[in-house]
Amino acid sequence: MSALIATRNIPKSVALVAQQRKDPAPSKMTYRLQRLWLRKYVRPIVQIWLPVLGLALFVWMLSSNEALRTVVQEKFNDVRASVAARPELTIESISIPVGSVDLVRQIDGVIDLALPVSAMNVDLEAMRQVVQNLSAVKSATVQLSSSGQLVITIEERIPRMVWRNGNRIFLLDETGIRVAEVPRRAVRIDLPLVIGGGADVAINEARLLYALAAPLEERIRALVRVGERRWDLVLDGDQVIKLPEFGAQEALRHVIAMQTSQQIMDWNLSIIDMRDPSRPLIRLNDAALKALSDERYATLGEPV
Amino acid sequence: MIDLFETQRDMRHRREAAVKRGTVAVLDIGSSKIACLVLQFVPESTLGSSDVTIPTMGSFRVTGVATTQSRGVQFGEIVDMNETERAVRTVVQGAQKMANTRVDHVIVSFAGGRPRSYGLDGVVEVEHGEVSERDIGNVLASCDVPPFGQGRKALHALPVNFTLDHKSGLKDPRGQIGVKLAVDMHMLTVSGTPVENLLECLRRCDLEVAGLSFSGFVSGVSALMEDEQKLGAAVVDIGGGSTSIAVFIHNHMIYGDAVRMGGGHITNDICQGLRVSVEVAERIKTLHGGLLATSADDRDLIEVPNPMAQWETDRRTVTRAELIGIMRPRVEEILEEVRARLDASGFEHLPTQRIVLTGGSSQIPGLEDMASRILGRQTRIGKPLRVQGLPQAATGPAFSAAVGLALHASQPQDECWDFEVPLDRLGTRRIRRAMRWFKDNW
Repeated sequence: MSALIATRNIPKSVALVAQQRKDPAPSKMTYRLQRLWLRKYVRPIVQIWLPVLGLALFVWMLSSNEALRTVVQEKFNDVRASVAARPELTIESISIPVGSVDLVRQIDGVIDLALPVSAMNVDLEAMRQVVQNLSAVKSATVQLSSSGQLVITIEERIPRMVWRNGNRIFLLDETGIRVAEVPRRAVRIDLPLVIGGGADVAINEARLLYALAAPLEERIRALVRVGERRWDLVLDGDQVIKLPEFGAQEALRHVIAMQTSQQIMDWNLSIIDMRDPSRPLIRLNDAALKALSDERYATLGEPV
Repeated sequence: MIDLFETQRDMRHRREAAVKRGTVAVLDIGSSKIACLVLQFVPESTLGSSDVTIPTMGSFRVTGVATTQSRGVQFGEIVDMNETERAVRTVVQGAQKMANTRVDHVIVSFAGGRPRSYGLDGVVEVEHGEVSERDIGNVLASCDVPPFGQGRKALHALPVNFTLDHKSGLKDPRGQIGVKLAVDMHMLTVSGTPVENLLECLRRCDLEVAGLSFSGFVSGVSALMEDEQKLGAAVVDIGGGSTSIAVFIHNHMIYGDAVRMGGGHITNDICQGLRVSVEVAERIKTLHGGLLATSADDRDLIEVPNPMAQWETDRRTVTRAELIGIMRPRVEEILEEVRARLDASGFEHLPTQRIVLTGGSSQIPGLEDMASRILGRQTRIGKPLRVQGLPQAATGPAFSAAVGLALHASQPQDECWDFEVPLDRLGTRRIRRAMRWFKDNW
């Protein structure tokens, strides 16, 4: 007995010929899916929310499994290390094109890089901050050149004044920021001297006063900040011009005028007190007082 | 009759909802091709630029067009549901893809079902002296319906003309004062089975039918000029499997019929006459077909491809005159049948008797002359009106039914069931209507 219609294996080529004309109609499933796809809310769900959900699920799975996380972390570290080890990324030298020898030495001390090092392991911004924080540096840029060189370009602060505060002597720039500390005032004898606490804050006024006092330039010893409030201009021969808290420039101008007209500073004075601008006072020095008393004694016959 | 009313009313509601929502598809199911247009209804002001004045109709834009070879359809009726379903799926998917929108509602036209026309009339007394909406409902409901046969359904029921106290030719008698209101109605019935098959087929494609039209009627809407529709004209839509006829006057269809012959039969004749396959015959027909033989045609040789030919000597040629000799009798037969139907319709009583030929087979060269000789009247080939966004490929006469459906969807003519049904005939359906109103609005 055998089946009425025998089964047989149709060769593939024959089957292909049989369905040569493919049905252009979409299958019912395709048709329905396409119509579903054309619904307004389906597309954002499939294209945005499902991937987001999947990603969130993946991340959550990763973070909840300790072993998996360490494996991923190690793998990541390996890959990072292998990339960092590439010769294209190594820093071989540091160059500082501008800057005084002293400053360059200072910068070298601040950035401690064990060269050669990979650029991926160097935080350039942090390095820039470190260099920037040096007192002598006004601004700094740190660049990585293509030839494996780390270029640090700096703009130095230029010292304008010497400031003695207690036992310490600093150099200040025009805005009153400390540039450096020096052991002795004689190191920068070319710069004017200011003394006293708070002098760095009032450095601008000090510069103006120095400019006004130009006619007395050879005689000026220092500008002394008194009580962090007002200035005393100290000249050689222990002469002091006391200036008021407000209107110090006017007062100094007054003194300079008196100097030019009457050579007041050549008198035997120890102090010109301008603290009350409407009522300037002078104090004679010891020699003048003695001479005065001597003279008075001679004329009046009585001691002072 | 009530269930038909309800179906049609449902369709009407769905169409309104779809138009309100903005997207509706029209589907022309023919014997040779199935065409689908996706319409996007837009506010009038945004249509086109103001400096270009192309005469266009309707406040919609065609955003998707697709056609496919029809399968499983004969004489405009579905004979193989699965095949037709596949073809509809193909065409709807194509149009959806082009429009990039999903369509849920389709308006369908078809030519099958042996349409038959009836003229109905009804008379009622006006209730309150002034004709109100309810009087119109009453007069429409009072129409005498002849026994149109078991299993047939009314596809269209168009109130053509209202008469109020011997004053005829009224379009909208509402608000007018009179005593006796009469209506002339044109009803087109088709056999129910093809319609049910069609609805079932579309239901299988997950589409909701929002309207069903006779293809001759919608072809007339798009292919007839406005004055032709007003003064009287007939449109003859020669399709692939059937030729539908519709007579228009006063912007209304007053007669519809279909001849169950079309371009497919011409192809068949060529097939048999030249002993070639259907595809080849179709190709020969479209490339070389004609109806009026001249002496030059005797010398015009058409090569007939022969799949069995192996040698140069096996090549076979026929003259164009021979081809014309094959095509001509069939076209004559179709046109004579059309003339018989037109004669039966009383077409000769219309003030103007323009005949417009449209449909795919109207593109046969020489058809115009032949038709005017056989039908005895002025004829022209009608192309569908231009609508926004329709690609050039879909502007030929073959698309007049599809375009007409689109126009019909945007400016529907009032049918009998669009009017209020008198209360005594409505019965318990009021609750259902109220429910539907809730559903539509919330």
